[in-house]
Amino acid sequence: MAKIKIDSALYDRVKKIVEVAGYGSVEEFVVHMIERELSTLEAAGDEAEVTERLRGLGYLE
Amino acid sequence: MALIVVPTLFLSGCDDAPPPGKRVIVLGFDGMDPRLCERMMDAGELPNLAKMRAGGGFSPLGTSIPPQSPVAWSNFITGANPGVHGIFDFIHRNPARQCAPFYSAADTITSEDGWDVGDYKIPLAFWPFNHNPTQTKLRRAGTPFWDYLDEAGVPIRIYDIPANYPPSRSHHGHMCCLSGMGVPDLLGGFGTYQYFSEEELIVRQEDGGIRSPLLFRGDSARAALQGPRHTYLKRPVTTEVKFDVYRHPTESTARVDVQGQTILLQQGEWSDWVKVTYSLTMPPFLPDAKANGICRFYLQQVHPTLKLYVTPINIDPSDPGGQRISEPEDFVTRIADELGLFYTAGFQEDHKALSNEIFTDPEYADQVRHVLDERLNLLRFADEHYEDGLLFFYFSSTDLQAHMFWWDSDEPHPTRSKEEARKYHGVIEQLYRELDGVVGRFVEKYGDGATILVMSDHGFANFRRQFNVNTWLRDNGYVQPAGCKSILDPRRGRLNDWKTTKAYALGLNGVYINLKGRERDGVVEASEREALLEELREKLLAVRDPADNSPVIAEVYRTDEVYSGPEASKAPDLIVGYHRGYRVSWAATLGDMTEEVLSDNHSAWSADHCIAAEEVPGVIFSNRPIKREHPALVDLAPTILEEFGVAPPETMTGGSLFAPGALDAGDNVTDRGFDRKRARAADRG
Repeated sequence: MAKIKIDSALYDRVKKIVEVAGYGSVEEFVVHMIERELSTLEAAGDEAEVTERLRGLGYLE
Repeated sequence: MALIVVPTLFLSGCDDAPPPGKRVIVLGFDGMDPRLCERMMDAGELPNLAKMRAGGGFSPLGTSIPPQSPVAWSNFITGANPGVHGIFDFIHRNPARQCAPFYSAADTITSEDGWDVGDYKIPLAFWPFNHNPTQTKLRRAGTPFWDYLDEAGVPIRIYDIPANYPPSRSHHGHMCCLSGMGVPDLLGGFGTYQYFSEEELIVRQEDGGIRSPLLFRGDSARAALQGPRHTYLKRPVTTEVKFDVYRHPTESTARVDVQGQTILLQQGEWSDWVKVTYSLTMPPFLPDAKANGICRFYLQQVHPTLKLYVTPINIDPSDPGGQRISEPEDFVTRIADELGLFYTAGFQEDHKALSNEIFTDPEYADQVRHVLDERLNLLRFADEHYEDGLLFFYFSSTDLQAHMFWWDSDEPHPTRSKEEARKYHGVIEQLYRELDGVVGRFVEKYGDGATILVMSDHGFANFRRQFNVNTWLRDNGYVQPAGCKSILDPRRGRLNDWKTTKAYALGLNGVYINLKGRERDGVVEASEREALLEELREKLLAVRDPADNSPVIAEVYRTDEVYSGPEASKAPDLIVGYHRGYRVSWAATLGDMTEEVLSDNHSAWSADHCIAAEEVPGVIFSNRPIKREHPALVDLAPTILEEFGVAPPETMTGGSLFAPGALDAGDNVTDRGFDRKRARAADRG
């Protein structure tokens, strides 16, 4: 497991959000945020484009 | 004196054309509804259809499970259930990429091949390179019924048929087909409009469109029409065509200059079709490639702020370039040579512009009128060029006008007052009257010399309440964890955990078990599948709307019961069949969750048909008595084949409309809308 240091002020900000947004812990939130960004970057290209194009179907949105 | 007998044949017969062969004419009105037809026929408003009914030539038509156009038309085309043709929804998922969605009917396979030269990677399909170019393939499996007619030498003319893009090849040269629903616009989507307004501050994308600011210097502004992506560049860019807008300082008129063409418009006026050519730059030693499109401009407003709407860029039918939208490839250009330019995109009505509040109701009514007028023009062409054989002609108006204007009750409409809702439902009634007239003209012209069928793929129902099936699955513990917001898109919020998720929903009607060995991250054992399916079915059928305790779901079909064929294993495990008034929620279709399971539909898209098959059968009318019991979509292909003396293959489970018979009770086949309901009613005694 790798360890990452973050600024205390940032940690406090995250802690406030975590309580409101329904995450179990700061760690859970941070991991989710990283996964989210990675997902966007990794999926950039065909898959994301396909999904965006599908949203143009009248039946969907 | 000798008598000389002059053979009369010599004098009279040489120029006589042979009598026409067998004629079968099929008019397809997407979404035409039997309940509305019956009410209007009873009121004397559809005299030609009523005459067919009086002659025994009318029945509701069993639709597909689920009643979605690509599924239903594929049932029609193959004469078989989705287990044979493999189309189960508009949206399928790729189990190897865990619920990654894709458009069901056509697949673009991007090629990595190419000649690497500077900033470019250019596929060269010829020897010695033999690169595989990016290709779009038709996903529908099975054999279309027209292949059998083609083999038998029957002339076939098919206009705008859905679920046949790219068009299947004619193996014997007797078919001409113009593809319909499924054909993309030039940007590769289902129809992306472009809207330019002084009130827009930034360029922004929305579902179905792009909004851009218009910055005037004095009375002129420059903007750009986005085009296709230039994928020959290693870093693909979006192409664009610049245009200039000049507004009159005081009058409500404006001028648009685009690629040497000048368009003068009054406020509220639509332009004719305008050609736009996108340049795909190439390395200096190769000529630039071109992508040819057409579009129409609508000057919505001039003062105080100018607003200009541009239709989706359609593929130019007079010069489609490498885009194959007809079979043979030049069929579409032959049509354009005679008719001029016309919509080629599969979805021609700009319903997104209404949903996104760019169009008002009257503006949408105007645009869809133009679509209908073009179709009627194409129908005239089709009729003039029809001698004998099969003629199939499709209308989208009954579907895409209905999605936005249909409302057949006094319940509160999502966006309109009671009076307005009635008024616009009246637009649909007027449409039915007009199409009744179209039918009448064909009956008058061909009379008993042709078998005439008028059909639809499904009916229609109000869409008042939306059911987020993914939220329901999450709240009932099938999607985990409890706080997740989406199964697909992390931008919507927390994603689910596949390790603890047992089932998920994608598309308009499908529920998938997260089955081990099938789904990439599957966890449900094969031994647990049966019990889970029955549990889901029972619970879904028991759902009640908290607003008034109404049942929400009329049927939950197990695809292992209603589908059979080589493609059945790719299907969702369950198809959810909603009651009239209900449909899957907008968010759930691509895997997103909302707070509430049930909520009101607030969209201008206020009517739909992606519900229980029993609720929205289609119609079948004929100029001959229909003898088959409970006819369904799968009966039409065998009917057409038998009319031409061609024996239907084994894969077609239906039978001719004109002979007594019915689908076997034991048939593991869909399209049994009425059968199932009546059978179930009988079972309950």
